[in-house]
Amino acid sequence: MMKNQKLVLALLIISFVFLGAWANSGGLNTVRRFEFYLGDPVGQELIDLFGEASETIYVGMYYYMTPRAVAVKDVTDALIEASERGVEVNVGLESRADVPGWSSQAFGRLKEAGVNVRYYEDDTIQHLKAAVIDEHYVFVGSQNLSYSALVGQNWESGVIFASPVIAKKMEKYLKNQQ
Amino acid sequence: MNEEIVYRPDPEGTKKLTWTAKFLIAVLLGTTVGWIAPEMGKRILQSQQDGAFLTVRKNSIEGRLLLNKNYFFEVKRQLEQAEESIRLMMYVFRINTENGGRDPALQLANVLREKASSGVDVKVILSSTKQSSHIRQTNIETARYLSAGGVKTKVELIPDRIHAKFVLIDESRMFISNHNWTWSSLLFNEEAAVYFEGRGIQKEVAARTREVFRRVFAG
Repeated sequence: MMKNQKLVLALLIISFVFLGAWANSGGLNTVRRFEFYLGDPVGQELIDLFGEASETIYVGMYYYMTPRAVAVKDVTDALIEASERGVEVNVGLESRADVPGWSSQAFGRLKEAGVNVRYYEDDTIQHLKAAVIDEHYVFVGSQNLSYSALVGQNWESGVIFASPVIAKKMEKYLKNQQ
Repeated sequence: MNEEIVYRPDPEGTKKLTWTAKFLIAVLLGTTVGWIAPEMGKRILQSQQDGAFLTVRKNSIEGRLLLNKNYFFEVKRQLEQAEESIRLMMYVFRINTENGGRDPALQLANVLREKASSGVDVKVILSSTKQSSHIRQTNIETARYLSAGGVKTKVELIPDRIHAKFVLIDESRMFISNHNWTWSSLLFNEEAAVYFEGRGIQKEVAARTREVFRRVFAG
């Protein structure tokens, strides 16, 4: 076999190695510590994750109604405690979902405690209910940080899982929203 | 007398690979290696991290982040591939039948109807709420449309409001989303979702879903 023929064949094989790898990936990423919720809210689990955070927390939330609910106050306290121990805490809220006196009070309390809290300013509605902890754990679901969600008046769905790849993508997305 | 022996290959017996054959070998070898190697690598990494190679294989879950309208395209694609069952719980499922089928929520409703008529077991639970008669009415109208197409649909009040946004297909593929099934939510809002698949879904999700749907549809 001629030398250049071997080279062409080798290049072909290498090309198809990459093609096969690309076809196999499908954009999927392995997930661990998978916790699924259907019916019950994700409350204490989220507080625990905020409590374990050591570097960064990103939260994107449509409704965030602190004052009325002890359950929501606990989440807020966990975020503030994380901020106080040096974790970079970022919270993005949708101002147009603001029930007068509710989200704005949460906003004020977080801001006062040094949390990087902002209202989304884009024209598009931010309907997010998501969080990323230490570029590792992800929460996504239907529940807001609201009284009805966290005390179980609503029937919610959600997941908490560990995936550094998805966490990084989600964090980048939430960062761009803020 | 020493006779010199010289090896001369028989020209008739020599089989040379044609370029077509070489190309096919390259395709076969390349794609096989490319397909298997990352998978093996992933398994080895998992075994190192979790310390249980076989357990991870058995109950593995893989996920993909779907932002904004990417959720709509993927959930439609996966619904179209359903073979046995579809379970949907949704807070708001609003369809608009007056825009020539452009409404993404209507497109999803039509996929559910097509699947039900082709024998897939499709069950939908929509929210009745104490807080919003408008949402309740919207869901009742969608439920009528789905039921007319053979989809088993319930509009329920559990306990004050179903706020879930959840899809399970063939008990092995799942979507958890911020998205309601409305035109604005599916195409225009900033929303996040995650698609999951793998044997772990069967273990972690299917039993709970069966329990919930059995209770609602038995009532």
